[in-house]
Amino acid sequence: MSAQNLGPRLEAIRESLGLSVIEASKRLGFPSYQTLRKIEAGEREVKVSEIAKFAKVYFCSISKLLGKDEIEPTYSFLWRNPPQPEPRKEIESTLFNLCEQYHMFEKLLNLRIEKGLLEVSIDDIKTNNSINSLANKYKDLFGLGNRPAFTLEKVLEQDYGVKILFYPLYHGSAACMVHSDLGGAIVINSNEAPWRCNYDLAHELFHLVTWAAISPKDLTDQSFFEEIERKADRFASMLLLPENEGRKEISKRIESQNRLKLSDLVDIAIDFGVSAKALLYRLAYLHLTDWETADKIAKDENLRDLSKEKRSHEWKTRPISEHFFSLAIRCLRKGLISRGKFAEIIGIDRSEIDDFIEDKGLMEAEGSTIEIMAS
Amino acid sequence: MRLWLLDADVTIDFLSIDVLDKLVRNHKIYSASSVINEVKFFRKGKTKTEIDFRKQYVESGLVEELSSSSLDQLISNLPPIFLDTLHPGELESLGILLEQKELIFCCCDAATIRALPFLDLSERGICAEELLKSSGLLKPGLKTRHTKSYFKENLEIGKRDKIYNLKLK
Repeated sequence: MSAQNLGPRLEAIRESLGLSVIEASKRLGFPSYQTLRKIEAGEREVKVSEIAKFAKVYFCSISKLLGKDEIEPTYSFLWRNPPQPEPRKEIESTLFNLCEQYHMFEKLLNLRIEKGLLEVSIDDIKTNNSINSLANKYKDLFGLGNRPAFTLEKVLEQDYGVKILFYPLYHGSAACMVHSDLGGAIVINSNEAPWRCNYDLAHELFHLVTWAAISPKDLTDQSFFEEIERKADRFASMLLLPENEGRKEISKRIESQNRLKLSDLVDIAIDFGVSAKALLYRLAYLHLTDWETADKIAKDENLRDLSKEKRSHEWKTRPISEHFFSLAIRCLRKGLISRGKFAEIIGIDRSEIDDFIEDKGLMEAEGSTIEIMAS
Repeated sequence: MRLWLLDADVTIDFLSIDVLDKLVRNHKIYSASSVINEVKFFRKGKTKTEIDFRKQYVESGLVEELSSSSLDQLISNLPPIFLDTLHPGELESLGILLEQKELIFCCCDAATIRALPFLDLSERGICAEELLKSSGLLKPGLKTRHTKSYFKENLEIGKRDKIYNLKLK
């Protein structure tokens, strides 16, 4: 691509990100903004080392920078507690870039996802009962078992091709997206507690499955958005705390000691991979307690302290995008991406590659071929 | 005297096994700008050591810095997927190889080795094992990625991919 063609493209990408020439020049490390002006005007060639900086600062791949595809974003994220408008464009570009890399790994490894998520219409989520049925349907379809929080992530990624990314966001934030080429993606705040991550995943799944029926554009109306959020919460609660299993656990404890204590609530919450608060509201949904009592206990400081103490071990490891990392390692092992690219995508120093792979219990070498008999 | 262009992983691994200093004394060594910026740490056993490669090796004249403006040549010869699967340092090294015909590229990365045939550079690449052997610096216990067989195997894959246009699909 000639400097005359590349310049205007770089200018358009910069503008789509809302970056000024001065700000972009600073981030690109140019001594003066005139350098960038000249590049954009096609008066100066771009070195190979510089194109890499552009890709980093403009949050897109080199092939996209040099390509002919549309520059304007072809995606739209649906946010809970979205970032401020200014960083939002950058965060969304970064997240979309990660989804593209995820997709690239899948393509390089020839992974084909044949299962699709159920089509859900607006009628399927009209009433509380219909949402309960929908959650049950998904629990069965996904084969999530009796403790869905511990299997949902893997099933969504491996069987349904949903890209799950853990990324540091604002407190209470999460996002999802459905893209015509890349498929569905869910972004979970990696700063949240593990049980909160589980809940957010189920909540965002609701938005994915209803994407065709309720698009982000429909949700610009605040009251409609709040109504849909309540439905998504209900769906998450039903999915992660199956009625029969929930009742069984409560009954077991009541039978043995005649009453339920705060520590029992925390134990059951740990067992299901949800927060004690989520469990309490679920108990109210199941009419095992009334809403007022559930709400009062959920806000009880003793419960919060007890939960914090009992679950401190769960905080030890930060959630990471395991499947994303595993695909990256497989691509590296097969020589489909370079070591440098691997380190860049994973966000580690090159000298750490060998240790990183070993820590994951994997190896870089492919090993010899094993013959498998077809039955 | 051969003129060697080193990739980042080879540079880091040579620092780890203590052969870089001896190599730069006896040979003319080059590095791509993006590669120089990539060499920040190396490991010796379990210890991670920080290094200011630019200051210690480039500014002191032990290693010469090169940069490439062969973007057009790279784009027109490499299948687009390589632009996303190789690191900018590796792309720049390939660009330099296209411009500076006397250089030999020492590389231990499978994906980069596989890109060489697409640019008709198969004869201009070498593995660390051969480079060290030819310099009398060969040490036992090199990693698999530095061996002649690893390099050859990946070069063959690259040649096959080129013939069957596999990377274009």
